[in-house]
Amino acid sequence: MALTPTSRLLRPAAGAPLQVLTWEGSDAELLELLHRQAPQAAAKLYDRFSRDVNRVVFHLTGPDSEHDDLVQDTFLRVFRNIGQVREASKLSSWVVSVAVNVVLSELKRRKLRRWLLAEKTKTDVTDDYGHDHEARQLLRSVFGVLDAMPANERTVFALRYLDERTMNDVAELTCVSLPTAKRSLAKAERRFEALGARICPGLIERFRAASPEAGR
Amino acid sequence: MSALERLSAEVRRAAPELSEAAQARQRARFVSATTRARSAGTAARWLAAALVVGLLIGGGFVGVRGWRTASTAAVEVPASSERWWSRVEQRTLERVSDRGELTLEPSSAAHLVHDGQRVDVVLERGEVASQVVPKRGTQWGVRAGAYLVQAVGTRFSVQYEPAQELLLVRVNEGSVQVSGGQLGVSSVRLQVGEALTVVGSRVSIERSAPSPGEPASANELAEQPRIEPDEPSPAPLGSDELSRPRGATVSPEANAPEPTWLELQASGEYARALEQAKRLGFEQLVGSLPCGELGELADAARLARDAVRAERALLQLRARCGASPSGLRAAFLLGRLSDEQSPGQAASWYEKYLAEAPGDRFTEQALGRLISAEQRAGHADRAKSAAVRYLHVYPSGGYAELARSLVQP
Repeated sequence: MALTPTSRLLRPAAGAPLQVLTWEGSDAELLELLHRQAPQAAAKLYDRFSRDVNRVVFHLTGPDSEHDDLVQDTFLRVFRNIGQVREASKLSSWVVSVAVNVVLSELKRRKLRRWLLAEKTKTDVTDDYGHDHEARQLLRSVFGVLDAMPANERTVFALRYLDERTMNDVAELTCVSLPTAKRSLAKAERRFEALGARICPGLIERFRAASPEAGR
Repeated sequence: MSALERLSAEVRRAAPELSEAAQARQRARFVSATTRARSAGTAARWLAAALVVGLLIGGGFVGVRGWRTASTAAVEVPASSERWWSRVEQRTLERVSDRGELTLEPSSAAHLVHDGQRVDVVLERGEVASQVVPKRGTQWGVRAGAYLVQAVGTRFSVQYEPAQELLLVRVNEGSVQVSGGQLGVSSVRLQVGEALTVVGSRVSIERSAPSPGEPASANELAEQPRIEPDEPSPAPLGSDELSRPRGATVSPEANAPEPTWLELQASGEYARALEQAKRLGFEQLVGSLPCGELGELADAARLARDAVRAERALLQLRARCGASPSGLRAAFLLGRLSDEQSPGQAASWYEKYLAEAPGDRFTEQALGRLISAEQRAGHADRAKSAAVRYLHVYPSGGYAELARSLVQP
């Protein structure tokens, strides 16, 4: 997620935020604007879903120098393929599924590149991610472990745990059946723990110790 | 809760919020990409990009050469740019500068307006890059929708896409002052390397190369509300005796006449503008300036921290131009002036403003400040009543937290 330290939000008066005149139209109205390519449709699309898309992209990739590119790619694909969506009630989940697909393709592409070119990916945790050393260290550790996981397992794990999706959502977003999604998650959990113990010893134990389940 | 759930909760807490500026950047990029996708196509765009419709003058010979179009104008001009630079407009440009370059990007549309010695490019859509050095006593800027980008001998570019509610101002040399639109009462001075982005209701400033010891930050300046003139100044700014200090020459042959207080005000030099106005006779100006300029004078005094003169100008503004937007907003600004010292008085100004200009663009601020002012004045009941009013209209506004703390036991 690109956070520029020099970026500042401008406020017109001390303590008073800029007056936000958000568009209050429904998803059905937005879909209608998108279908007829109304001039402001793209802006409204971004305004409606930027939070969701940014959040899911961050949870799937972590601090990543290409975060903005992935968000951009997601919105462009949504914009270009909006004709596929006929029911406004499905717009929101479809946008998130596009984001998941964009990230999944990127993760697979990186995996291949890593394998072919012996390229190393690095989790990009800079000062942009806050000055809390512990928080940065945690992000680096967790996404370092996730980087070592297969793309599909990583995605299922991130959607279930980091994005707090239900298993039904996870299955739908990754286009698999519910039992398959559950099996993938179980595999992903085992792999995360194993890789965590190897790459970042003590990471999971720290939270296990704090868990009330530990004493059972 | 399992260890993995605990760990995930901690990761979510550690994850940073995406800043408004970053969102504005993403939005601008996406919207811009979709706009391009709708245009004639990539190949045509690259061909068109080769076209630079501009005005060039060899510098150094004052008033001898006229503006002319750039040599690349031989390429076919896109239909959307056909309005660019008639002979009349070229002559208009000569009023403000005898050298410089003005470039309009393909698929943009703009025209020129002039009022005395002031010339503005009215950018209807697209992007214009300006490298114009204004003559002394002239003013030069770009108007984009509700925004005015005031140049002070500078190199900058303005991109404006009304359909996408997008404004981008980048400064490469000198400085500019941006006002209007989402900036509300604020005006922002941008320095070299700074870029202002307004996308919808989001406003952000980014600095590509922050330098130590630079002048007052745009944030600080932005926190100073400012009155925009209600309409263009009826009198030519450069020749207006009221804006020219005594003893300063207005002859074009004279060497570097002193800038007028209006020019100083426009360039953000409020203290100097006020000094200049005082030399001309502050009281005389207050009594004779048209409404728009009187608002500017009040701004100069307020931003130069001269509360007495600011109050004088604002009261006069209310007396003489009470029905104009400037006159109505003067009540709000009078409230701001007395907010710290006399919250009770400020509250009554805010009430006046709310009664006289309901639905004006500072209504939320006035109502929010009213809560605070009544509270500090010791009027608990009135503060609570204002808080109820505020929450009714702005349940998630900037003062909602304060209002809730008063309404909820």
